[in-house]
Amino acid sequence: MSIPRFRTSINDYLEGLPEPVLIRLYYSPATCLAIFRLLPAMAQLFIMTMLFNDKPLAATDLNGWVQDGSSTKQYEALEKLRGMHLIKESQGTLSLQKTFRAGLRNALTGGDHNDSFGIPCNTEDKHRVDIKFLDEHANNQWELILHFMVGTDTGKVPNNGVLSLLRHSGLMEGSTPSNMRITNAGFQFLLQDVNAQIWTLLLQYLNMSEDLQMDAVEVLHFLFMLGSLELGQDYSLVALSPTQKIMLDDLRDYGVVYQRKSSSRRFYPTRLATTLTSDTGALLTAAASMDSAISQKELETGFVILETNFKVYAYTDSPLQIAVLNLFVQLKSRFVNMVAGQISRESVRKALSNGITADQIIAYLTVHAHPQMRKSIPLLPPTVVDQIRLWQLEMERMKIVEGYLYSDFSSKNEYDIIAGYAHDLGVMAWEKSNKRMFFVTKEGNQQIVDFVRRKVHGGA
Amino acid sequence: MNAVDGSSHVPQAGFASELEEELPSLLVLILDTSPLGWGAQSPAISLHEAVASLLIFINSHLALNHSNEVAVIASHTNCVKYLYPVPGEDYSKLVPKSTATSGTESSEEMITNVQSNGDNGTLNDASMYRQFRVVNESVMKQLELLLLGTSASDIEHNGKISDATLISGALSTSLAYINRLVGGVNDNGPKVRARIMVVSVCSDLASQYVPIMNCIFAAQKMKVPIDICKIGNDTVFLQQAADTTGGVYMHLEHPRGMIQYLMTAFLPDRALRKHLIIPTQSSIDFRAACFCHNRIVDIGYVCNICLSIYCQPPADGSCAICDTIFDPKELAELLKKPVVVTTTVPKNKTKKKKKKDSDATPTFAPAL
Repeated sequence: MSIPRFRTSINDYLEGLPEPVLIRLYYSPATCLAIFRLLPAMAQLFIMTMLFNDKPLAATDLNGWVQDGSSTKQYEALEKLRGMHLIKESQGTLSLQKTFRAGLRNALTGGDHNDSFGIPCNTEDKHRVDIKFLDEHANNQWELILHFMVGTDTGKVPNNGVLSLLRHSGLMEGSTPSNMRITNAGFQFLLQDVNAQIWTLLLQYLNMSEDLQMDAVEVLHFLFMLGSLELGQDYSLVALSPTQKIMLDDLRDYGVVYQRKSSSRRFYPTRLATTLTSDTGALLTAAASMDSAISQKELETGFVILETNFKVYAYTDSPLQIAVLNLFVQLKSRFVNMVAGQISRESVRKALSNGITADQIIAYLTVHAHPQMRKSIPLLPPTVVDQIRLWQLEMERMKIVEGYLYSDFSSKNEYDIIAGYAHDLGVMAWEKSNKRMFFVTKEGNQQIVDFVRRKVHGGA
Repeated sequence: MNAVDGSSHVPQAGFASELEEELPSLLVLILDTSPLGWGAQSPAISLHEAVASLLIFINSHLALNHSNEVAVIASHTNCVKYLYPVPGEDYSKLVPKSTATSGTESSEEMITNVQSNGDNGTLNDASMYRQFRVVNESVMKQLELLLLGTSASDIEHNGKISDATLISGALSTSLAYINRLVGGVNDNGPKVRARIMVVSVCSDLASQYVPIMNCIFAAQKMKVPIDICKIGNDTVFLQQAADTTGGVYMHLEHPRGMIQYLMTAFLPDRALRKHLIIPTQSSIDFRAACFCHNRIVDIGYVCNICLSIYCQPPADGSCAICDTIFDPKELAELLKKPVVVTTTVPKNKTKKKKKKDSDATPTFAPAL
């Protein structure tokens, strides 16, 4: 599912940060809350028990609490906590990292006045916008980028900032807007779901910003703050640091925030921002049932039906989605609200040769599955899933290794010595000792040649 | 090639439970606001402190997942009131207000702040996640209104002051709320997992036996676990509620440490509970209350048609619930008490033959 995937990428990034940087991150309650939400459920529970308990928790207590069959979950949770430096262990007891504990407590109780959750604007906005406008705006900006990647001719080109980000992240290559081509990584990016896509871009932005001398901690603070903002409310720029103000301009291009013009003193987060730290599942299920204000957009609901006879029916009219489907489905007919096609060997091979993996195709189909599909367990028909994987295996029938073949040894002894040396070096790719020939990789060949020369010159 | 075989890599039950873990959860909190009940707990814990702990608990529930939801219902002596969400109030409208006045605040100070700030007090404060703040302030404000509006007559039941609360009303209200929100289990599977949690201080619920049992069975059908957090004395039917629906029953020994009890035992939701060993009461008081006098009985009489429980056979010979007329002879059999027979030994041993007729074997009727 996509949820672990986007979590893993932001988690990987966070775990890759050194401890002092993480501790600086934990000063802001909004960041603590956002990071807390990214953790797996059991880790969240462990933190909650230790939050208000001043004494450290004994590790044996934890073991006694978790059922025997679920010790893997416990282990994973503890690993995750250790990786983010959230717990400190000493003499068999666990205790929470102090800054994080204070930050999370403040987040829960609202104490310790700080501006980490975004300062709403006090004054009325003369050009107030509503949620529908924000949704459309976000949709347009985001699809602009995606359309540009896919190559549909919309006539509009994203900003230079966006283009440089795409180039930098390896999603597209080329120097001018007119000759930019999508790369393999870009294809894979297209198949991810919205949340994962945004995080991919934002992580690239983070990497870029370190080169630009922007403080990664501030960038992260701003991102996590965005995740906790309320849709439809305008926020003031007062509390933002200069770094964060620069970020605001860039985020405008991605459609994450809306600002009427760059000198405006207020900004509105869009749905892309508010769902930064939530799961996609939230958009599909609970939000739809509990909050009637959400309009049904293709971004957010499943629309693909996959049958056991490999036929695909997609209830969408968005050119973007159709273009993405076209990558691996052979589309046969198009109606006002639906396109129909079939997954065939040719279509899948075309996708595979573009660098898309079978897993990504399957993940895409799973995420965008029509709610009717959820009736069946498993979600996708196993025949189709297996067949896609088999087609991928077909591409991997042959593996090519460049190198040199050694044969025609004069004596068994000689063969044994040289083959043994090659084997010890680890450069031997293949050998057939009864025919006295072996195959060495290209890189290792030089060493074998030197060895043989030494032997010949050195005697015997 | 074996690795591609469908059966092994296609998750069966695992997939369903993974999906369940990703489902957001709805927590309905029923707070017992009987003034007398809380007054009786007063050295150990006050309503003020308990509400503070509960607000933090609610915030942590909301913190677990972006789309978790909560509802708070107050079960008062003679009415049931929604503390959040209040029907008719629109939480998406924010009233622009001058910048917040709060300095360092804990939720206890928030209680006093709401009392002094009035409406929409500090909704726009940047120091607290807005979702938390909306819930907390609504709960505090409504609770205050409720308590201020209680008069002495409301606390009385049958003319005497009691600490009874309308738990049955609160349970039915919450089940109806859950039903409305979850919308029943449709083809696509349940979209939200709901559970009910009751914080109770009252001691006697015998008068509400029938409605409470009905609510318990309804909750069982809807697969909604009912957790009970009990402060004070144990109450008979709440244990059964937790046991039947698969919830957690905890009697707080040290009410001061309420927040820790809440975080450890009550915070994990259904999906997580499968992996944990949750502390709950194992010995359950399965007594029932009779339908005629609401007395708690261990052994009683049961109508064989509708299974309603009586402490003694009904006086008019028919079941009050299903109007079955009982056979009067059978009833008489049941009402028979053992006859005590006095035997007099004849003084004159020679007159052995004289035996009293009443020296018959005493008739035993099965007592109770």
